[in-house]
Amino acid sequence: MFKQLGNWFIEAIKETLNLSWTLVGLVIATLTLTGSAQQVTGLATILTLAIWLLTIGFRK
Amino acid sequence: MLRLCLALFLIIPTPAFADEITEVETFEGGNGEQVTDIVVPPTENNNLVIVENTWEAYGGMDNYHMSLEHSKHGGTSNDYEFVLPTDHDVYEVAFTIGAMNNQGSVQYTHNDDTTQTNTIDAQNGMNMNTMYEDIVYSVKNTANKFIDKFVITINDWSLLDNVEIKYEGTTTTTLDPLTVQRNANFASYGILETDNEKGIRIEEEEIVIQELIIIEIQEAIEVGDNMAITGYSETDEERVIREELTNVVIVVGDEEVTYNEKEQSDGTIDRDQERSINEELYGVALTDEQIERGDLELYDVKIIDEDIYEEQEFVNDADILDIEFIELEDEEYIELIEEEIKEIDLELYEIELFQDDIIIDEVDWIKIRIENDLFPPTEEEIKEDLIEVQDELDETLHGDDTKREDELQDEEVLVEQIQDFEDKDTIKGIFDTEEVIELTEKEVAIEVAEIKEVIVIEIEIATKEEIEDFTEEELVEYEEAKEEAIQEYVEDLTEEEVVEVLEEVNDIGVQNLSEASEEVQEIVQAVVEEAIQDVAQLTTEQVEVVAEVLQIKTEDVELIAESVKDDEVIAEAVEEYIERAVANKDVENYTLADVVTEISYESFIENPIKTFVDFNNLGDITIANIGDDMTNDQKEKAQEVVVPVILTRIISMAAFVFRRGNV
Repeated sequence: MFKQLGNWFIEAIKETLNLSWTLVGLVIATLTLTGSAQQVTGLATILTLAIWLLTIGFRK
Repeated sequence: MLRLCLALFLIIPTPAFADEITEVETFEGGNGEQVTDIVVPPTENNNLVIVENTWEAYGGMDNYHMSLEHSKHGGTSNDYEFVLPTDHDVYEVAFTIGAMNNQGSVQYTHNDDTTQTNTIDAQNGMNMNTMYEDIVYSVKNTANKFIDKFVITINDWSLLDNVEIKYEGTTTTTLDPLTVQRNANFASYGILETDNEKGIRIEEEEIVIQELIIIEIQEAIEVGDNMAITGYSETDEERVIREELTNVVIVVGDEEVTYNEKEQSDGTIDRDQERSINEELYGVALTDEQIERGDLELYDVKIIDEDIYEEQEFVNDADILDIEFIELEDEEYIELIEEEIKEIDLELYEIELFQDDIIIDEVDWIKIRIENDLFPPTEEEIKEDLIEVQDELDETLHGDDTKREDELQDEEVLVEQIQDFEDKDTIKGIFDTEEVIELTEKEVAIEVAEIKEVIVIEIEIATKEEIEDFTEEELVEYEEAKEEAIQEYVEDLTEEEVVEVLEEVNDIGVQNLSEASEEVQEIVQAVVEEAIQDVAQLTTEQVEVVAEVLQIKTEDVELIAESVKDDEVIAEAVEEYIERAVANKDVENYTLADVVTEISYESFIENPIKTFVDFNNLGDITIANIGDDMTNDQKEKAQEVVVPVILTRIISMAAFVFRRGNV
């Protein structure tokens, strides 16, 4: 189980790196927004990233 | 005369009541010398009489004493005579004799030649301390009998000391001459002093008088000088006190200058400010009047005409066109016959035909124009004329002249153009355009000076040199004190005063505040914060002024005021808006949204996670109201940034997929 977790962790890092440009765009968008828009964008970014990483295996 | 009599009375000795006088020969006049005029047995060439202090240990002997029958014990006796002073009537004699082992005698001789002999008992067997006797002989109770001398007869070495005689003497009182002077002067003018003291006193009084005269002269000079300078008849001390109450401190350039009452009313302040402004502009501290009369030439400074704004008078059109208005009087009317009129090319002469001047009934102008092929115009001519008119309209109405139509434009189009014109002619329109009204350096300096006039605050400002010499603690204290003074000043401002300051800021432009001092910038910043806090109490016009400062729309001011309470980033942006706008004066269109973005970025760098997880009233957010709490300015900025980023990402993704598909 730890090995699977370790493998997943490595895959997650790879995926995050693949998403670098996308994340940069979303971070910039979050910083330029204020108020509710900023909160929603930030929350959406985190949730989407989390779902993306958690579904690595499913998407393969 | 009184003084003389008194002095003589005091100087002349006056007899006093008789007193008993005692003289004691102690041989303590130095080395055994006598202290009285009692004639004692001679010591020269006399081994039997010595004055010494060898046997002072014996009782009754005090230091020096006389030694009789010196070193002789027994044998024949010898007489030792003591002769008393003849100027005294001695009635009592006393002496101390000691260390006398053998009996002796003493014979007193009186003034009546009678004698009295008494025995002196031997003192053997006594110890040294008690081996003495005080012999006293008195004839006081015998009237007119006195003692002239006495003779001691002994044959044993004996010691003698403290030969005492008593007699009645008359004492004379002689006053001290100084006391005489004091008493005389006191009797004369009431001051108890000697003549010398009087002289000293008079000298001191003269010195004091001279000093008072000098002081009065100095005061008179001060009063005269101050009268010429200030117009008030006052000493320097009085002037300091008055000026403390009436002087004002005004910031001229970067310095604080104190102006007295006279300078406040004679235009010195205005001239100093002009000098300061002109020094910034031309490098020479001259007043506007001096510049107008050409003093800059003395310093080899030339003014470029473009920098000078001069009001230009409207030129009379007649001067340009040089039209001669000919007033035709009745007799000057030229009556033309029909044939002559036909021959005239009216267009060439551009003659305007006034119906009043010409008998219309007799001229058929339409016919004339038709015959001259001037009427009706051809379609081409009509089009050309319409195009000209349209161009003229485009130029005057600033409309969109890229759109040309052959047909006349509908009313709607014209209305739109008019509306566009109206929009662009308002404040909103101005901010919508990219053109910014740039002020010349002189105008900026004038506006900065006007801001300084509006901001009247008493605050201690240290020079750059003083700040450099401050320790860290002193610097902190200085900054805190300055900040406190600014806060107090701003809190005391009314809404009208706040808006007045902001209007002056708008005149110069926020980013041009870099020309003002740091303290003015801090004050303006505090005023902006105060305006945002009190926005609910401002009128619509005042809110517009605040909006202009922040370079946002009027309806967004309240939004900002609400956001400041909840959003730390926006609150910090408002606090630092002026400072950052001044720092980014070279950045075009630098607004509050840029400041918000910068602060968001800085907080993200500091704590990235917090930026994404800082949720505030998340439950109140709905799809319909997302972004309602953003200002229009912020939305535009976000569009400018987000859209290109997203597009870039989409394009890069598409290219990636395309490449993968071709592999």
